[in-house]
Amino acid sequence: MESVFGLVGKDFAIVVADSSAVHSILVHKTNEDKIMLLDSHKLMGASGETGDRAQFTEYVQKNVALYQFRNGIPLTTAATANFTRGELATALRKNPYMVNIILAGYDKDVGPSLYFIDYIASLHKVDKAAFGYGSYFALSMMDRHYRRDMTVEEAIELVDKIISEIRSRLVVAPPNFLIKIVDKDGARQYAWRESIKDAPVAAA
Amino acid sequence: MSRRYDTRTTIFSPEGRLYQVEYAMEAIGNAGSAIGILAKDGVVLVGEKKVISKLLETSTSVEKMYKIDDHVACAVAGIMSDAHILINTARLQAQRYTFAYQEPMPLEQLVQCLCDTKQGYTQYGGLRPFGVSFLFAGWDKNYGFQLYMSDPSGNFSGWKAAAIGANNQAAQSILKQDYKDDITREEAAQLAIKVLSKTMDSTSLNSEKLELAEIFLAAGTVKFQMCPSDKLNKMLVKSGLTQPSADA
Repeated sequence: MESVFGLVGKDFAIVVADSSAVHSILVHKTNEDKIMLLDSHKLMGASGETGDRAQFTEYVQKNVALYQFRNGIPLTTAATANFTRGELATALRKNPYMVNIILAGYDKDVGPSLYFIDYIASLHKVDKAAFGYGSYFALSMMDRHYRRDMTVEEAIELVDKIISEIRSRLVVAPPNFLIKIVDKDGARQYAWRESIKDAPVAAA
Repeated sequence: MSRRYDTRTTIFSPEGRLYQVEYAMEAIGNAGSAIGILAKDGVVLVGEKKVISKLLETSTSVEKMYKIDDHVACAVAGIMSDAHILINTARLQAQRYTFAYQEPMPLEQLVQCLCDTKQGYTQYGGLRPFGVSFLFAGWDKNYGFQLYMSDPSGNFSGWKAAAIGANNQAAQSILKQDYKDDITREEAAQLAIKVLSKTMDSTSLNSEKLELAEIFLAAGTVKFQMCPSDKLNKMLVKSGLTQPSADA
């Protein structure tokens, strides 16, 4: 089962997601990127039905881009979160998207922010959030160790504690995780945490 | 010769003109004027009331100024019934945006949206254009205080000072001379009244012939305030545009 979690630090926000793409008992790949860059300063980590996840996050990404092209200014993180929730809400009673989302962004006037959006279109602005079976461990670890205004180093230390907990306690734990960060300099990949590397493939 | 190309909105004339759009602007040129001035601490809108009668219920009816959303208002010039339809459209667009994004709609986007609607009536559908020009005034966090003017063609632009309606060209040239970039809201109100008094047809000016509205920030929220008639009278007396009443 997929794990996605995130937290807000002093002037940054982090989103972490596992990177296994699973179909029944088969693991398709272990380096799937489930955290989409919506624009220069927004990250959207998503978990859920694979097709819906890709489709919906791309839909939001393209709408964010369209807004910027049309209006010359980027959407704020809050506006993006509300737009996303609205789309999930509209589809909910007809053809729901089975996607859970953690949206992180950095706005110049507001600083870093994190939004929890679940598949039935709840929206919460939060300091820490998690989805999936991993959330049982992630939320408990964050309740114990999270403080406001952590530095990047402190936050990554907590992230590593959480990943270690998920790996050791979840029966079918995802082996690899991807960490992305967003701050005033933008949204970018921070690091991989791999416990299983794909075997090197010989060239032809 | 132009008669052949002016009865339908959906055709150009050989000179490349859209006659119906131009005729709509003619209609506005006969309507009560309105002036908008952008100050550094707000926006001022002044309108000339054409319908004056002792029998008119002035306390409840407003002729020129309309609030579109908490942070946007507009002044109109032209056919009032056309204006009402467009104002309703603007209000709807503003609420739709806030419903989707939980934020107030940026001013430029609101005006663009409305103008896209107006443009539709110049290109297809076989319906005549709206005979209204607007002055949109408001505040948003992207560009602060703004003033936009739009016309029946669906074109719009941002202005520091603009005039619509009767004698708008004369008003515009006076504004060009007298406008200063760092004008305050109070000075802008005085300037707007002065310009209107010069371009209005009527000989005497009093608060019954004018509407004045100001948009400004108070304690972090945008306020739209219609000037009450006694305060307006005081301003007119102060500018020397009206004789003070005998019992003052």
